[in-house]
Formats: sequence, structure tokens, C-alpha cells
Amino acid sequence: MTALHDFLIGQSLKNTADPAWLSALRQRAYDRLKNRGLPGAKDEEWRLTRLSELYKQEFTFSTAAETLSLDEVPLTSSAESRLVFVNGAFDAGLSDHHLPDGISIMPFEQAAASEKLALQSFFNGSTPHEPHGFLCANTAFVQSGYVIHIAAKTIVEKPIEIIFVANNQKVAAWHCRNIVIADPLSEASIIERHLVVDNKTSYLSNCVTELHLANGARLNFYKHQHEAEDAYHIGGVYSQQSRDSHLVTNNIALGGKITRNDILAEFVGEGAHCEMNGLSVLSGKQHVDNCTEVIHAKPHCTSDEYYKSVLDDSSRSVFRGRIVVAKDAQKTDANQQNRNLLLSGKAEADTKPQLEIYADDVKCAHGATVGQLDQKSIFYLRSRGIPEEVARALLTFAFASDVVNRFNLPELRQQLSRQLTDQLLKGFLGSIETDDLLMESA
Amino acid sequence: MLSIKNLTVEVDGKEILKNLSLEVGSGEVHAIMGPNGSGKSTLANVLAGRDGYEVTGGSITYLGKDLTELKIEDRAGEGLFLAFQYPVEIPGVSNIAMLKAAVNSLQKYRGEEELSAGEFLKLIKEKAAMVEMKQAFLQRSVNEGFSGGEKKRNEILQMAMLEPTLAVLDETDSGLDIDALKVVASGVNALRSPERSMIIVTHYQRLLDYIQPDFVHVLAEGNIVKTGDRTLALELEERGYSWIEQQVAKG
Repeated sequence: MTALHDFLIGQSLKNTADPAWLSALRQRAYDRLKNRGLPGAKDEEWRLTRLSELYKQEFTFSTAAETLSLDEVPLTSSAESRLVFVNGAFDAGLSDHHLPDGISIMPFEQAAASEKLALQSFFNGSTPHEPHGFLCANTAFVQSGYVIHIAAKTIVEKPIEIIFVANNQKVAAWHCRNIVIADPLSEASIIERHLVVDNKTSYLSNCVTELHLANGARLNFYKHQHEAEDAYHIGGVYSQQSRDSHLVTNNIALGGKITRNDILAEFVGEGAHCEMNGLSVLSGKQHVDNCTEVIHAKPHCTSDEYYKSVLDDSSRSVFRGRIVVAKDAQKTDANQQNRNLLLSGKAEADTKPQLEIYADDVKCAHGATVGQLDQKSIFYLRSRGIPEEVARALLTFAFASDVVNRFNLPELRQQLSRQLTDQLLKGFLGSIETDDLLMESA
Repeated sequence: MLSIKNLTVEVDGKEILKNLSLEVGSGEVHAIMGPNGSGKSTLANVLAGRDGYEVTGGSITYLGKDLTELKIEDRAGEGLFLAFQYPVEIPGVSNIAMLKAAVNSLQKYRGEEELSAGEFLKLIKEKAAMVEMKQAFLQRSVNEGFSGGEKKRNEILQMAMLEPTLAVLDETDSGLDIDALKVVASGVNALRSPERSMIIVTHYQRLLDYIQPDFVHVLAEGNIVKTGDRTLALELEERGYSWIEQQVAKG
């Protein structure tokens, strides 16, 4: 077994504040982790993501953080309510509860103890029955996270923002569990950010989010990951959608050393829709692995998956897109696109669509490309006097911002575009403003 | 301004232009006509510096410089402009961003100050009106979803913004209806000046009803076989290209 595994199973599970149901779940997950270990090269779904370096690391569990300010990290100014977690622990001082009626937001430990929320009927309700080692570790060792409950018919106008910020001197690991419960016909936008104050810190953030959408609920979910350059981010967004619900997950990975996200959506009611957008912009030796899965268990559901990555230097992207259409899921309409742009000869993209269709009256489309910038476009721009490196940067920005243009929150579109401009067009822009680069949204 | 001497160009190892010579003086408008496959577009592309067009003989001198030695973007910096036969669609790059990048790059190449946001806006409003292009087009991706006529108008808009010294229009009239053709032609006419030369490559005489050239050249099998004034274009329309080809065959 590895150092990380030994470290994890060496931890005590005792937590006096836990309700009985949570203690039982912790124990079961712990046993599974102890027996089966963490995923390795022999597991098909982990084969292309080498974690040996992570497994050798000596970690400590995260301890209370020093005070810090959020001046340096990007925030959403239109958000009214914000929860902040520092090194995986809830920070009441930095958080801002400004709650409209019909919505409750609280840290996980508080929610777990609340009988009114009945969290036990949601916890692990959207995760796979055969969880992998990191998911087991998350269940076994969860200390904090956020829980959001949106009451029926509540329309939350302003986005809710959750910040996970790393500010650590030791090599620490933390396990957060987030649960969103969207009652029938409710609507909300949630932005989950994973940021860092000091880019030189090293840690493992194991962060699992569950989204439970009841009948007719609508949720726009953003996961914006910009971890430290030596950080490991392993996590997922697991959702379960009831009848006529509408979910958009936007998964943006810009930082971190190795990032692994399991993005899963399961339709358990008819007429539901899920859109999954993903963007990774990587350089150096960064590695992002997105393992996506859409389970069409019921008829008349639609899913639209759009994942892109921009890969410079020796960076690497792994995309897995599994779509399962059950025998009874007639009239399913599933679309999946994965596009990868290689900016360097050493960058690598692996893409693996995996369609399992058991129904006969369905529409399923998928496409995957791995390519370079279009030579004709480069020539066109250069013929207008634009130097080659600027032409390349403009085209790279265009490739990436295509995903950003799908975001429903204007503020986030602007903010991410600005970030991409800084990252990809630095010094080339002159008097070109980000606004000039933004497309009119369709 | 432009002096092409005994130019031979190969594409994929095949000789397309053979020993072609052409002199273009300041302020002159030259029409290059010819049947399909005669090498018209090759001439336009080799001037702009497109990859895959290999100069195997002769020379192209532009404003005293060897044009073939210049990078693509530096040719534009020196005042050369190509209006594409098939303008490229660039999803995600807005028209306005491309034009700003282009105008600023040219200013920089020439050692001049970048335009302020206000100056740029004023300029682009004026030029867009000239080609009857709505403001909304400026925020859209370059040529994406544009009709044929809109794409060609966009080429003329770019030409107007970049104010070239030598403009090469590669079949800008192809596929245009008469209304679009008139807009394109009036844009071109508005840009005519004693300092600006133009080479208009076209398959049809019709464009020359609206843009009157100083010279008309007929290109056949990679070389200019006949040069005249605009009456030559009219004669070509009446008698077709086969008349020229037969003349050439006879020697």
C-alpha cells in the first residue's frame, strides 16, 4: 500500500458530533477504502492519470488555518451570500450570510446534525454504488463542506458563491462534502471556486459535490478550479435529476498539478435536461482528467456535453464521456463533443467516448477532435498585418472563450474572459479591450 | 510600385505561373481576367505570401523591396492587402477585435502610435457605413454565418480600415448579386486614389462596368497573353475566352 493510503486509514473516525447515520456511513466507507485501496494504474477509469507521486507524499490532515483576507482572490460581486472555507474548514468570519427567504445555507457539520434537513436521505444519494477510493475517503473523513437547501418555488435571483481557499504551510489534505437540495420548481445559480492565496503551497483537496434536483428544479452550477501549481484536486460533481429538472454544470480547470473530476448526471425522472460544459487551459506539466457520465434511465431526457481543452507545453488532458441509455429511455437525445487544441508537440490529449445504448428510439451524437490551430485562419489574420504569435493567441483565446460564452451569468463570462485574456493574450492586446473580444451572446 | 519580372510559381510541384511579367504604377487599377485554371488566384496568393506557393523563378519587387523575402504580416505592414476569394470564417474572434489588432499591428510596424479607442470607433463607424454594414456585424465572429455578399463587404471594410498602398482583389465579385456587387464596387471606387494601386482579379467583365480599370490583362495558362484598355474586357465578354486561347495556340 502507499504512503497516502497508510496515512488515510491511520486516521481515527471518531467524531462525537456525528449523528448515528453518518458514523455508520463513515465506517462502511473506511472499511471499503482499507480493503480496496486507492485507484491505481490497473483501474480502467484511472489508467491515464498517474498518481504515484501523490501516493508517495506525506500528508497531514488540515488544521485550523491562519487568518487571511480575500482581497487577492476573484469574487463574484453580484453574489449576495458567500460561504468561505479555508483549507477545508468553514470560516465564519469570511463568510457572509445574506439569505433571501426560502433558502438555507450552512456548513456540512451543522447540516448533518439538523433533523429538519434529513441529510441522510441525500448523502451519497447521487454517488455510484461502487465508489472509488477517493470517494470512500471523502465519506469516511468528511469534516466540512456546504449544504444548500432551496425551498420549493423559490427563485434565487443572485448567485450563491462558495469559496474554497488554500492557505497552508504544511502539506495537508482535506475532504469536503457539499450537498445542494433543490426542491420542486426552485431556481438558483451556484458558483463553487477552488482558489489559492499562495501559489507555492502543496495539498490534496478531495472535494465532492452532490446536486439533488427535484421535479422542475433549475440549477446553474459552476466549478471554477484554480488551485496552486503543486496542488492535487480530486473531486466530482454528482447529480441526480427528477422529472423536468434542468441542470447546467460548468467545469473550469485552470490551475493545479493534477486535477481529476468525476462529473455525473443521472436522470431519474422523465423530461429532464442536463448541459455539461468543460474548459481546461493547461501549461507546464499540468494534468486534468475529466471522467463524465450521463445516465439516461428515463425517457424523454436530453443531455448536451461540451468539453474543450487547450494544452500547451507538456500538459495533458484526459476526457472520458460515458453515456448510458437504458432500455426504457426512449426518445433520449444525447449529444457529446470533446475538442482539444494542442499548442505544443509535447502536449497530449486522450479522449474516449463510451456510448452504451439499450433503447432503440434515441438520438445520440458524439464527436472528438484533437488538433492544432487552423492554418488558413492564421494566414488570414497575418495577411491583415497581425504578427503570427498574436494571431495564434487570438485564435487560442477564441477556441477557449467559446465555452465561456455558454455561461448564463454575464459577470462570470466577463471575469473568465478577462482571466483567459491575461493568460493567453498577455502583452499582445495593446488597446484591445476584453469587451471587444466578447461575442454577442446568441 | 509593383514590378513582377519573369515570375514562375509552382504549387505542389506543378508550374502554375510561367514567366509572368507585370508592372503596376502608382494609382493604377489593373484588371486581370482569364478562364478558370489560368493562374489568376495563384498570382493573388503568391503576392500575399500564402504557404505552398513556391517562387521558382523571376522576381517580385514592391516599393523597391523583394516581396518574397517579407513575412506575410510584414507585407501587410508595407501596405499590401489581399481581399480573399474565399474569406475565412473565424469563430470566436470578433470582427472588431480582429480589426483593432490589425490596425494596431500596422501602426506598430510603421512606428506610429496606436489609435485610441475613440479614434478607432470613429474610423470604423465611418468605414462600416461606406460598405453599408450594420454595427451589429462588428461584434460578430469574423465571417461566421455571413452570406457571400456580407463576406465580400467585410473584405472591403477591412481594406478601407487598413488603407493599403497596393490592394489585390481576388474574385471579389464572384457569386455576388447585383446589389451586393454595387456596394462592393462603390467601396472600391471610394478608395481609389493617386497613391493607391489595385489589382482586380476577376472572371467576369461585369465588375468592370462598375470599376473602370486603367489596364486589362488576359491571363491564360500561367502567363499574360494580351494587355489592353477596358475595351478589351468588353471584347472578351462578347467573344469569350476561347477567342484568346485560339489566338495563343496559333502563336
